Order: sequence, then C-alpha cells, then structure tokens
Amino acid sequence: MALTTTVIIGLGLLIYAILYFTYGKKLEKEVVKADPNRETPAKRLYDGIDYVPADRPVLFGHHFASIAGAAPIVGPVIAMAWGWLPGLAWIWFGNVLLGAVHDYLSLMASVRYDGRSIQWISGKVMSKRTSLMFQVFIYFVLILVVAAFAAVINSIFVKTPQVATASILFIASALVVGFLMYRTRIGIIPSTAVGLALLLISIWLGFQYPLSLTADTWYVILFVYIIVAASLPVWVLLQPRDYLNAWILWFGLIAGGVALLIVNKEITWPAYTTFSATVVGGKASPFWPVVPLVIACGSLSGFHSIVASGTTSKQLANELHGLTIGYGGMLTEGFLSTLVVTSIAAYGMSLLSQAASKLAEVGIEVAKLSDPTYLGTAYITAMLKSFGKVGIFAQSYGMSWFDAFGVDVKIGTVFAGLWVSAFALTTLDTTNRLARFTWSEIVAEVVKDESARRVLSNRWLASLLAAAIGIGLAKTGNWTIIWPAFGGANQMLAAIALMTSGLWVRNVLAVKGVMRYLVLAPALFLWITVTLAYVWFIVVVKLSSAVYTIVVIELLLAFMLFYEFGRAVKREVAVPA
Amino acid sequence: MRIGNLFRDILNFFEGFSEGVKSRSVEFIKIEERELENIFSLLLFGSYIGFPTPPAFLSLELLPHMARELYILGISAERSDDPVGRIAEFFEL
Repeated sequence: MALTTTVIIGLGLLIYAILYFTYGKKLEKEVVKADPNRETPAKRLYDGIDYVPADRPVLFGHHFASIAGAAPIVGPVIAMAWGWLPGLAWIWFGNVLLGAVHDYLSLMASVRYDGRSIQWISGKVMSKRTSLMFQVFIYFVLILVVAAFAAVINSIFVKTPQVATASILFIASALVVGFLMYRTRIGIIPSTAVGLALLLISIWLGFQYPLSLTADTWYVILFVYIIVAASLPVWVLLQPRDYLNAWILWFGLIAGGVALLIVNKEITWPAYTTFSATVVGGKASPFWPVVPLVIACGSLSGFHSIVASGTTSKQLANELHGLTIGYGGMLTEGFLSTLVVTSIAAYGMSLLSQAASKLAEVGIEVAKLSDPTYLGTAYITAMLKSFGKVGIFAQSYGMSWFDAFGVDVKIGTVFAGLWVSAFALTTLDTTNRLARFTWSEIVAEVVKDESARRVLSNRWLASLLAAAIGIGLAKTGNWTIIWPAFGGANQMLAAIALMTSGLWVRNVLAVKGVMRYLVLAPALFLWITVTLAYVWFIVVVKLSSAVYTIVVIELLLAFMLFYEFGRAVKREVAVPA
Repeated sequence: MRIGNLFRDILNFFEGFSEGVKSRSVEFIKIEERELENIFSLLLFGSYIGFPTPPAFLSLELLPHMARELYILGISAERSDDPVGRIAEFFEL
C-alpha cells in the first residue's frame, strides 16, 4: 500500500485520540486528580472581567486561537531537511509526551494557585530568582520573535508580491471592521460578513496589483509599522485583525485537513534524508539535539504555559474541562504542523523539480534531489532560493486545494501566504507591546536609581529598543540562525515551565510512583536537549555578536535554573498550594 | 438516540466555536478596559493615599456606587506581583 496524505493524517488523528484517552486521562486522574466538585478560580473569584467561567468549547476555541500562530507552520517547513518522518515524529511524540503535558499541567497548576501565571508559580515552587530568570527569557524570546517573524514576512512579501498587496489591504480591512464593530451599531455578524468579503477582495486585488518592493524597503516599512501599530489603541487594528485571523485559522485548518484527507496523494518526499542535514547556519545539524531549535510551537512551546496559566486558567469552569483545553489544544496545534509536513511531503518534491532553473543558479541539480542525502544537504538553500521561507508550504497547500476541490493553485497559495503573514504581523504588533511592558518590569526590578529607571522605562524608548534590535537582527543576520535562536529560547522557556510543573506534581501534589517520573523525566529530557542544542549552536555555528550574547546569557540562565531546580528537588518539603 | 446525542454534541461544538471566535473580538479591549477601570478607581479614591484627586467627602459619597470597582482594584493590587499573568492575553505565537 502506497503511503499517502490520507494515511498520515489519519494516523496522526489516531495517535492523538489514543494518547488523549489513555495517557491524558491518566494524567488527569492520577497526577492532577481533577475533581469536578472543587471550585475553580473562575467561580470562586468571579469578578466579571478576568475570572469568568466559560463553556468548554468556547474556552477551547479561545485558548487554541491564542496558542496557534505562524510558528507551528514555519518550524516544520525547515525540519523537512531531515525528511518528513523525523519532523513528524518529533511533532507527534513531542505533542503527546511533552507539549500537551506541559500545557495541561501549566493550566492546572495555575487553577490550583488561583489563576496565577506559571512564572509566579515558578517563584513559589523553585525560587524568587527563577521568576526573574523567567522574565529575562521572555524578553529575549520577544526580541528574537520580532527578528524571526519580520524576516518571514519580508520573505513572503518579496517572493509573493500578491500576498504583500493582499496583506496591506487586509490591514485596511481590519481597520474598517474595527470601525464597524466598535464605533457603529451594526453588530458583529454584519461586521464579520463585511470583513470576510473584504478579505476575499484583498486576495483578488492582490492578483491584480502585486506590490513588488525590495527586501530593504520592506524592512523599513515593517520597522515603522511595528512602532505605529503597537502604539495604536487596540480596537483600531490589533483587535479586529486578531478576530479575522481566528476565522482564517479555523478555515485554513479545516479546509487543509479535509483536502489532504480526501486527496489521498502519494508521499514523494523521502521519509529520512540524513541524521545531520544542513539546517542551522549552513552547518551539518544533528537531528538530536538540534530539532527543538527548529520545530518550536508545533511540538511544544513555552509561550503556551503563559497563555494557559495567565488567561485560560481564570476561565476554566470545571477541573474536568482542563484536559480538553490544555492537552487537546496542544494536540490541535500539532495537527496544524502535521498538515504542514504532510502537504510538503506530498507536493514539495514536484515543486522543487519545477524550480530547476532557479536552483541551477545556486548549483543545485534537480535530478539529484531524489537522493535523500543530497536533499538533506541542499534543501534549505533550494527552499530559500525558490520559495522563500514558507513559500514551499503555501504552494503545497495551494496544490492540495486544487487536487481536492479544483480551486486554482494560485488562490490557495495566496490564501496560505496571507494566513502566515497575517499571524506574523499580529505577532509583531503584540510582541512589541509585550517587549515594552516586560522591559519596564525588568527595569523596575533591576534598576534602583529613580531617574535612570524613569529614562529606561520610557514607553517610546522601550518600544524602539525592541523594534530596532529585532529588525536589525532580521536585516543583518542569517535567518537560519535567527529562527533557531528564537526556537531555543522558546523551548528553554518550556523547560522552565515543565520543571515548575514537575516540582508542583512532586512537592505540592505529592504524587508518588511512576507518574511522578512521567512528568519529571520529560522536563529533564527537554532541559538536557535544549542545553546541548545551545552548546552545539554556540560551538559549531558562527553567530553574530548580538545573537551570541543573547544565546550565551540564556545558556547561563539555563544552568542557574537547573541549579535552582536541583535545590528545590533536594528540599523534599511539600510546598502548600 | 446515540446519533441524536452526537448531533447535539456537534451543534454544541459549533456553537462554542462561534462563541469562542466572538470572544476573540473583545479580548484586547477587555485588557484596556481593565486598565482604565483601575485608573478610574485610583482617580476617585487616590485622595486616601495622597493623590491630588477629588476630596475625600466626594469619594465617600461615591463609595456605595463603587463596590465592584473597589473589588477589582483590590484584586489588581493583590495580583500586582504577577505581571506576566496580567498580560498573558497578549501572547500569541
């Protein structure tokens, strides 16, 4: 039987379902001991603002839309260099054993701590210093997010000018929707209808008037955009665009999933290329420990712990809903990454073959790409040269729509490009706001002199700092280094959250036996993997001074964290919840 | 009967999905509203802690109408040691 998209998507869904109902349920019953009669903070501390109980499907939709963005798409695209199987295995098993456990336990720990964030809980179960380290990690991740996503958007706009026009018009559409929703009385349904109609018109106009600008020009535009967008009131742009993004996400996910299920296209991409494919910074990159630097959010993400513990935990109506929302939400995001891998595995090889002339310019012979080892060495260069950073996914996605529904390939391609760029633009906007906020918090904590503190925490200075470093890194740095730097910081954040959850399970819930180690072991495995990946990154890859500084600081923090973790484990004293 | 239950569950899912998307349309505004409510409460009751705001007798007159705002102000003050939790809704990756 030939391996097809239907088989992979079906197998993925089956694995997720089996592990949800076995491992997930075991976590719920034997580790967390979720009790439907224990009042959640949403009910106990109801305030009508943050603490509001929500229905399970509502909270699931809300939580999933918050954790899903462009990152689960970008990482798997890069990981195809190792073949489709290693990336998919990391996504599936990373999901069920690490990512979903991390999200679920972060959520439930927060529920038991009155909806406090995982950062606050880390200060409680480990030490106060850990909490500050957490904050520094967050700041670095935010800077690297600006760099990594600005480069992604830039690449999409340069390689697909139709998406550039469509994205700019989509921003204008969001402004119109914002005005209709929040400044008129026409209501949410007509506003949404107008927004979705404008979205379609944006795509159509994108084909009519593609906007071709140089990469440098787009960087200047993005720099100005970040500063301006982050200073606008949220209702003007951020809120309506985020709302429309939720529709794009669900539509893209369902349409893509159905297309790959019914199209039953044969997989032509090699399952495995080579253990050390050329991925990070043009160097031979061993799959382990480097993979977490490449696939971040699709497998597990530290940022999910912040969303789960900061927002979702305050709305959980019943402890038994936690598994669906925390564990199930991560699996749904993993499904998005599964779509990415499957679509490239089915269509990527024929797309590369069609780009023979472009590939010849960089000395890549298309005929040799069927050799897995050669593909592992040449894939990243070939992909970046022919399609840009995520173009191979967008085109594969477009082809799956064509095969399944007969929709013109270009429409599906531009839709997928718009999907990624819309999320990446929202990420840039929110990230800059967050970086400003986090910077001020760190300054308040570290700088004691009042006048220096006032200068350093100025909102414009803080905003410019994040934008300038981020865009500067994106413009001058090598993207195959910037992305792994972001991925590593995100995964180390996940390691801190998982260690915090592990300590909570051990010291607070006092779970005994195998289940205790089923939480602590993944936390340690993740810490070891990411730390080794960092060491490899520093030693083997030639980093720019800015990235080098950030990564070295993060590595030092990782060791300090491990020290704090060890001390907390040794304490053997139950910390009251 | 089972098919009926399944049908109802599917309907519930789509209803929840629709509500979830709808709640996405106000989440950032809620963050700003919360901040504005805190500022409003401080403006009204700041005189107790030395802010040059309405005199205490006016604040006292307003007190019965401000129970909810004061409750939220209290929660905000209590949660001020958890800055990340306050901005978690902004995190989207």
